[in-house]
Amino acid sequence: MSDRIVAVFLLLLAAAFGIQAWAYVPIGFTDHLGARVFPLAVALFMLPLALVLFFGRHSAGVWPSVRAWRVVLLALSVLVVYALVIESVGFIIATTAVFIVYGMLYGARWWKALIAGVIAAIVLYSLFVLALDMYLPLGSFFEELF
Amino acid sequence: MDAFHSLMQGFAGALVPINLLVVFLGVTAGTVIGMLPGIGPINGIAILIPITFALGIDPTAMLILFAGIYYGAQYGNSISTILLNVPGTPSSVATALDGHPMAKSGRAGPALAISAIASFVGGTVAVIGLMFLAPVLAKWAIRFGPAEYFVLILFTFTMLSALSGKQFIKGLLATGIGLMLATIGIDGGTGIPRYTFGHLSFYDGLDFAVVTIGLFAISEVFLLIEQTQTAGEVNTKLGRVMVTVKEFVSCWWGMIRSAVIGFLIGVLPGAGATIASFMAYATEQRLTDKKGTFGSGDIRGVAAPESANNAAVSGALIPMLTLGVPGSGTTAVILGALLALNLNPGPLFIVQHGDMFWTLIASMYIGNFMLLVLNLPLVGLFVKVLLVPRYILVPMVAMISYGAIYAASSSMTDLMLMTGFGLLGYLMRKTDFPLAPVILALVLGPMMETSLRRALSLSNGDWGVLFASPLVLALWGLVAVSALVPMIRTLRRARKYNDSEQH
Repeated sequence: MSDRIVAVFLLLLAAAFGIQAWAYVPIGFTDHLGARVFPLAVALFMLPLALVLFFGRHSAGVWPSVRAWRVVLLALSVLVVYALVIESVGFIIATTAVFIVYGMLYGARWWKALIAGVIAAIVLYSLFVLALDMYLPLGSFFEELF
Repeated sequence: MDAFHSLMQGFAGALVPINLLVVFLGVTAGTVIGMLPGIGPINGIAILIPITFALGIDPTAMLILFAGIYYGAQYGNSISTILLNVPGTPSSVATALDGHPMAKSGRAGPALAISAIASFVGGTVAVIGLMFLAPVLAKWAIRFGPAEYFVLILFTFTMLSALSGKQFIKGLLATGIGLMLATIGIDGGTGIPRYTFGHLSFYDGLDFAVVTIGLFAISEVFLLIEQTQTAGEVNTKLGRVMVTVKEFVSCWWGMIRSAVIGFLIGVLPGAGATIASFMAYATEQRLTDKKGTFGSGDIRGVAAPESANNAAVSGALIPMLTLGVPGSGTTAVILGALLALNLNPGPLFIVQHGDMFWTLIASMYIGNFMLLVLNLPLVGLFVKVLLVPRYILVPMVAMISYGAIYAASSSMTDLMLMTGFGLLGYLMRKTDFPLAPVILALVLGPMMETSLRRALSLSNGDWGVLFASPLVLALWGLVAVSALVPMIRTLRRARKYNDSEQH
C-alpha cells in the first residue's frame, strides 16, 4: 500500500517538475540543449517508472508503529525548533536541550542526560570554535555573562 | 618502472609529518566511525567536508584523510560485526556469518586479529592494483568524449540502482530524485535559474554536504531513536588478539584470492564491497570448505570477506579518480568535495595532479600498515567505544552534524534543509528506497547535463552523436545489460510468485 502512495506522490512530483521545466526558455541564446531539455528528460524518465511502481506487485513492507511515529515526530520537531532558536539561545543551551529530550526518549534519567548534554555541548563548542576557529552562536545569555 | 618511480615520490610526499598525522587521524577516526552504529564512512566524510573547507586544508591532505576514513571504517565495521553481530553496512554481512559464531565460542580475539590481518592484505593488494591499473585506465579514458561521458554516467546510474537495493525500480526512482535536486540552481549553459522559486540561497544549487548529512546521518538518528531499546550486552573482554601460525597459513591463499576478487569487483561502478565480500566468501567456501565448517565459526570464513571488502573499497577509488565517475555513495561524496575545490578528477587528473595521486596511493599503503599495528594491540581499547550508551551517542551524532553545518555556513536555512532531508531519508528507508543513488545523481547530474550540452555543440545539435562511435555504442550495450538483468530477475520472481499462488 505504501508503495502506491509513494508512486502517486512521485507521479505528481515528476509532472510538476516537467511542467515547470517547460517555462525555462532561454532568451536570445543559441544553445543546442537549452535549459529545459534536461529537466524534461528527468521528468519523462520518472513518469513511467512511477506508473510501474503503482501497478507493480508489492510486499506489504514494515511500517513503523504509532508509538515509533510519535517518537520520530518528536525527535524531528526538536531539531526544527533547534534550527529556529540556535541563533537566539546559542549553541550550548540548544544542544543541551536536545540531549535532554533525546535522553529521556531513551529512558535515561533527566539529570544524567543534562550532565551528558552540558559536557557534550561544551566539548563541541570548544572543538568548533576554539580548536577549529569556526563560528557558533554563543547566545545572548552567555554573551551578557562574559 | 615509471610507476615505481612516481610511487617513491608519492612516499616522499606521504611521509611528511603533517600527512602522516592526517593518515593516522583518518584511519583512527575511520575505525571508530565504522564501529559505531549510525555513522558510517559516508556520514563521517560528509560531516568533515564543511569543516575541512572552512579550515582551508590542503586538498592532498583532505583526500588522504577521506580515503583513510573510508578504508578505516571498513575495518571498524568488522569489529562491531564480529562482537555484536550487527553489521553496520551490508558489506560486513558476510563477515558476520563466521565472525560472530567465533566470538560466541570465546574466540573473538583471533577473529578480530584475522580481520585486521585480512584487511591489511586486502588493502595492500588493492593498492598495488590501483598503482598499476589507474594510470592505464586514465590513458585509455582520454578517448572519452562528452557523448561517452554522458552514457558512462547513465551506466553508473543503472549499475548502482540495480545493485544497491532490493528493487531496481526504486533505485532508478531514487536516481531521478537526485537528478531533480541536481537541477536546482542557475543552469551553467544558459544562466537561467531553475527551481529556485526566487530564493537567492538556491541559486548556487543545493549544498551536497547538507543533502548527504540530512539523508544519511539525520535519517539514521530517526531510525535509531525509533527503536529505543538498546542492543544487547557487549562483551569487551577479548582475550589475546592474535592468530596462530597455523591459522594464518590456512587463510593465506584465501586472503590473496579474495583480495583480487574484491579489487576487481570494487573497480566496477555500483558493485562495491558488499558483492565483493559475498563473492569471496562463496568462492572460498566452494574451494576450501571440505569439512563443512563454514558458517559455524571457521576463521577462513572471516578472512575471505574481510580481505575482499577492504580491497573493494580501494578499488572503488579507481573509477572516481581516473574517470571522474564514482561508483558508490561514499566515493560520490569524496568526488563532490574534490569538485567543490575545483579539482576535477578524470583522465587528466593523474597527469595534472600526479603528485597528489601518488601521495594518496602511498598514504594508503602507510594507512593500511598503521591500521594493522594499531589494531592488533589496541582493539581492546577501541571496543570500549561500543559501551557509550545510546542516549549519549544518538544526540551526539545529530549535534555534530548540526554544529558542523552551522559552523561552516552560519545559515539557518541550511539547518532547516538538512532536517527536511533527514525526514526524506527516513521515509525513503522506510519504503525501501536506496539512498546512495540520490547522492550519486546529485553529484553527477550537472556533469551529465554538461556532457550532453558539449556533445550537442560539437555535433552542431545532431543527437546522433550519442550513437556515433563504437565506444559509445559499447557503453550503451553495458547500460542495456545492467538494466535488463535486474528486470528479467524481477519478472522471474513475479512468475514464481504467481505459480506458488496458484498451487
